[in-house]
Amino acid sequence: MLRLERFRPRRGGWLGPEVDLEVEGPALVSMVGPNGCGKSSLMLALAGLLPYEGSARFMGRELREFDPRELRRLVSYVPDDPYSVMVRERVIDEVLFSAECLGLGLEEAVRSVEWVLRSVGLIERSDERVRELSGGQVQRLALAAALVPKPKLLLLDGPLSHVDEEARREVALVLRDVVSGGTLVVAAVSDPADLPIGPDVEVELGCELEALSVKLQAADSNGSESHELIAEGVRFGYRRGREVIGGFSLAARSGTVVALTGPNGSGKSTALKLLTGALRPWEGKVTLDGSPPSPPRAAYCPQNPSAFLTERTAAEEIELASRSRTPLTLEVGPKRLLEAPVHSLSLGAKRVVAVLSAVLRGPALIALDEPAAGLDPANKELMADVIRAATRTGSVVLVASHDRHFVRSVADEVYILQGGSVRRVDP
Amino acid sequence: MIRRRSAVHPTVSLLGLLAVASAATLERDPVHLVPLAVVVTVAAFAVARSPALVANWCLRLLPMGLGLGAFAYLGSPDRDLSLLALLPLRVWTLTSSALLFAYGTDSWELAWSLSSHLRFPRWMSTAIAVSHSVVVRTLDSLDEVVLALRSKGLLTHPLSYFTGAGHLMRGVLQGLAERAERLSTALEARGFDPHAWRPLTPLSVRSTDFLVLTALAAASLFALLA
Repeated sequence: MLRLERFRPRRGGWLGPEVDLEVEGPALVSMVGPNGCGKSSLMLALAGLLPYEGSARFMGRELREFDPRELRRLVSYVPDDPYSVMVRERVIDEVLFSAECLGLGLEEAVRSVEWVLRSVGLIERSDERVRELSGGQVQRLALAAALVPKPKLLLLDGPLSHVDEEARREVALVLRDVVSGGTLVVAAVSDPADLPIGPDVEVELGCELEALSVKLQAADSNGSESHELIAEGVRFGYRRGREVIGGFSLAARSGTVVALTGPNGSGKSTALKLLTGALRPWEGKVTLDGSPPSPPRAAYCPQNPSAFLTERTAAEEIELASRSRTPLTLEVGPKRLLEAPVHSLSLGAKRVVAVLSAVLRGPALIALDEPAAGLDPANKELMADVIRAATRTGSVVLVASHDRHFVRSVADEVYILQGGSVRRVDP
Repeated sequence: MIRRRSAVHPTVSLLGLLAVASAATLERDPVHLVPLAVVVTVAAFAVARSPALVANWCLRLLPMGLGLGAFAYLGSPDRDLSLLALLPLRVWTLTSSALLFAYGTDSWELAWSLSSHLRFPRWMSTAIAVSHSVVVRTLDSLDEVVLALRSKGLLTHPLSYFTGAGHLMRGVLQGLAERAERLSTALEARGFDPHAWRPLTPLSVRSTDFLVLTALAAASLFALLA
């Protein structure tokens, strides 16, 4: 069905990882490699959207010999940052767009759309706006849109990095169904744990690129200020009558990491924005050292790191952050990666640079939204080290994450958000 | 579930925008512009996701109108006081009409409307739809960039919007370029062909479209002819 021989994606003068693979029939193939090794380029080349070297034979024919329209009916691709590729405003329209591109009739399109939305657990939210979905729900929506053509080859780039653990198992079962239906599914992941079901074939990708290396040390914390964050009875919703956060209370002091966890759409990001003063609660109050929190004393680092990186390169971003009286000393490299345009970095590198940029300024409160999503195990460990260093400078650190393993490794206190309510649990 | 998504029919929205923009640019009496500003603002409030969104943008851009008005007044040989009101009103009217178009129109229904009703070439209508979609997303994500810059201590008070303008522009433009690049890859990956694409949602005309068009045309004519 798919045969890769010395297959390497090409992006300008750069060549991605070399892959040799032979899969006879429908199967779930995982391609595991660290952040920045070229997984996205590999997926794009397999989708016929980037040139490649070597050979890639699919259903007996070389990929580059396919007519583009024919290839689009056979191959579907889901990128690693699905929000930026959403085309329509509403959930159902996003999936219908795939049917429109295929030229399906109305009846067939509706049948197909209902099936895929039900499969990924979004049928109840079909009339909602895409921007009102959480990161994990958008990822499931992108998968739904890719399933409409009933492809023979489904390419998933970091398919479940933002999806919560319960939904992850459900989506994994959908992928199993897709494979049973005759589709070859190729998933590129940074961490093998991101795929909750064992793949039929696992390919380890070699990485020729140097990874981002960070050494962060906190100065003596004896002289650092002490901070206290208190939230009492916070209630909030984006629309009247539809509460997202109901009666949220917490107290956190300097040097602690408080994790907010819960399923996709439970309001983790909203809670972080309320606690940093980016949103105002309907009821209740939030105080940081006795007064309402506001930037820059309370810094919010969003789920999409690109929204935080406003400088041209990672080096400029870090240099700007270091201009503040940072209580941290930082050694970071390699130079080649730091001086590359920030948008060309891998998702993992962008996430690390964005969090470093927030942490280096030494704010009283740092809120990190899904800091470990899409990171490989080494970068998750690096992220945990950065968070620990931030606590040694006296900052209160809030982490919103659906990754229970990561939460366990960094958090001192854990709150679970679900269905608008909040409860504290042991880490 | 499957129905027209544009709050105002894209052709009506486009014609309304042209009428309002022409009247707001040509009219020099601020008193005559007031009814037009009110009608456009009410229409934009009605079609946007929330009236606060429209009010927010209009109020953000109003200082620019006030500044332009002050410069025009100081630069006019006869110190024409009406310029102090005319330019803010123009900026307000143009902003609310642009928001009426941005938030009241679905990008892909706009593409279909341009190519099927107004006979635009398909490549051009698609390019306009993609630009419309990217601009609306950028407007939505601007708050994220502003929050990032505030978190970095670069936008701490209103005047720092001048000193931090470079960072703000770079953040917005980088996001815009990245979004446009990813969107074009996504369209290609989904097999979008501008020449073959047809919407499944019927692009019907509703009675509210006639109401909006009549109100905008009447207010524009009043501004020009009164």
